[in-house]
Amino acid sequence: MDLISELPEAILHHILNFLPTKDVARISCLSKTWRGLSSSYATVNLIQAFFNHPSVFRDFMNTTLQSRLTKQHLGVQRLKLYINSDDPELYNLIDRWIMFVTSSRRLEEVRIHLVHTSHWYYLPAEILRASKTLTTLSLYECELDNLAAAATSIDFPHLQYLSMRDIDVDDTLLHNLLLGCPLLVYLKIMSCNRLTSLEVSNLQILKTIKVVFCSELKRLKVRAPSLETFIFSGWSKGRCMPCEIDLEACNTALKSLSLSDTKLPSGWLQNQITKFVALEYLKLLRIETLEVLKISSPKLKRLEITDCRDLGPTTEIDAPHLHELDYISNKLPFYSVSTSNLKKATFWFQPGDHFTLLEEFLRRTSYLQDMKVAIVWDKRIIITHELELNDSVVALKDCRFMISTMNSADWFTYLFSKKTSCYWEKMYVAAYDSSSGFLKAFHEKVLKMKMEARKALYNNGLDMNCRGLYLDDVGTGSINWAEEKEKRMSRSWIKLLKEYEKLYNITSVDFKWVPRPGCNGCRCHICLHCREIGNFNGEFE
Amino acid sequence: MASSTSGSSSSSKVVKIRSSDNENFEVEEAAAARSETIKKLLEDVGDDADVIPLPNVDAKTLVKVMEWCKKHMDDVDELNKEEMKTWDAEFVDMDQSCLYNVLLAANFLNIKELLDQLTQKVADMIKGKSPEEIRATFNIKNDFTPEEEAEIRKQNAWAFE
Repeated sequence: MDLISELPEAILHHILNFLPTKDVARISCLSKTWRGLSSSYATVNLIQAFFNHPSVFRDFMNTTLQSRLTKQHLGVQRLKLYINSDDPELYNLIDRWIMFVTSSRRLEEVRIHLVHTSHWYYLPAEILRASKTLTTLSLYECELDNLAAAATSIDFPHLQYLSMRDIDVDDTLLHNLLLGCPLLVYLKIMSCNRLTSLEVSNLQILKTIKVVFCSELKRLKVRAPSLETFIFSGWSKGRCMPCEIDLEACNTALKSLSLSDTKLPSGWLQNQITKFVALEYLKLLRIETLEVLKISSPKLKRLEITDCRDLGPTTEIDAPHLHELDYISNKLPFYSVSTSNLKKATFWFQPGDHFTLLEEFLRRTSYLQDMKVAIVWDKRIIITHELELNDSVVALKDCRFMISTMNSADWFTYLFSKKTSCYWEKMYVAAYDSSSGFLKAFHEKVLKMKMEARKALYNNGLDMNCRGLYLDDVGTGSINWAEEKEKRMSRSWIKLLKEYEKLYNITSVDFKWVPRPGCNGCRCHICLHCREIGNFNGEFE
Repeated sequence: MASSTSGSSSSSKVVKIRSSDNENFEVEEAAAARSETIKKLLEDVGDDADVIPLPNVDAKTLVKVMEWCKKHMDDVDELNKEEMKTWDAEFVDMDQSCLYNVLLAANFLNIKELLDQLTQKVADMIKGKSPEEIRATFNIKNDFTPEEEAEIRKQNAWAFE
């Protein structure tokens, strides 16, 4: 019996919310009930990437609009447009769509994401007609000049989520816009390169603020008593931009702090962290001139430090509740990690001549059980589960070392994640016996990756987690010494492998990666072509 | 389902609820309050509540729903998230008629997180399938004429590329 079609329409619409647009379109071909369902569905999601020709997409956009106009009384709750074009006719159509949806009293969400090269798109001022009902507004390369005239009277009393990316907005307009959004919970400003100074002070319930890649921003002041998450990145066109950050009034609620690619005045961080009494998560990425770090934080649970290359060896961490520590850099700066709860710790560094430091570190962390070790040279990696600092290992001072306490499954996931951002060519897995859980976890991970590759292929290569390449094939065998020599691997590398061969069962694995069809070879979580597609609720980064 | 004896909160308050087929259950208040509907009813009747009747939910379904509520009673911390995910995945793995009953109950009882998990499960059963496969999975009868179907397919050709 067909039970599903008997479910109330509200529940069926709820199910559609979890489906990519393509599946929603296919559903309309099931039966008359389902057809009615998808045309009364309150979400309009138009994604150009699904269409081979811009003209076909334009026609589709047009016919969809016409058929919606005949059912005007139903209104549209969510409009999402993802378009990659300079076509003025298409811009005209976007305007008409906006005119149409803003006449509806139920419009809650508007997302317009454009990628263009020559013509600017100017958002029509009519968007303000929906200002009383909108809760979510996400704009990408839409210029706001038409709003400037009405700037002082902008009023979005229910807006909770505001995201702006690549928009040529100036300090005054943004300031006025934010004044009109008292209930904002989430604010994201990305690559808005005209901003020089941003002050957020009227947002009493703002929980998250993310300000990234705004190249000219010199001053950022946030007074938000409920702020829980603060994310800042000063990275812009390959440079790290200094910015004066003031979070004075956000002390009590802040749980998560992430700072990347910027310079901080000396002592600022230490001083601030002491004040953030609720801080649970701290991430520092490429903070220049950060030489000394002494963290004392009662609630801190997770700490990530990546490529803070100036960090000296006096780093001290006093965080009794720290249970996850992730450290990636050129050297190992830790003498002191004072925590008894550490469950997951990962260190990635180049020991250079500082093996004594490593020895000291291993001695201090000897309470950590079930160590995983990886020795990396370019795209080749040796993986084992113990590390003895004998002569052969010490000779590998130019290799990168990874040490982790993750469980086997997490460890292999990590090795193939964005974190390591490496497409391994060759992996040597050294285990005591061929039936170990370690080896089993490895094979499971490889199988999973191959399945994911097949799944992504089915979706035309459109995949949220796509990184440009997918795993095509895996070859397993024993060590190929001729190949090691041919690749000019160092004598100490080969010596270590020979030693390990006597100690362990070594599985030698070759990975073959190929570009994903339909993908431009870019990191697809950035480019419009691949992003968002499988992401039903649009809650992307 | 008897009142909970396991866990840390064995001394916590217990409320009585009654299914549509007149079976009474005793549930920890913290678990029952995962349902906004029950929570509101409890607030309305105050402490002198006797039994809260739930006329839209039968006993078999109610047991399922309360099993979920009990598991989701406390906030999940970072470390248990994975474990919880596995539990949830196993929980929603049930036959279709049961799934819809729990879905309707979650809707009536207003348990947003459970509703999301169940609708997500149904969505996963649809995702990436052709109309023929979806019809077969859910037993949906195709009531289009061949001409109508061809026309609709043409309109949505992009979705079949």
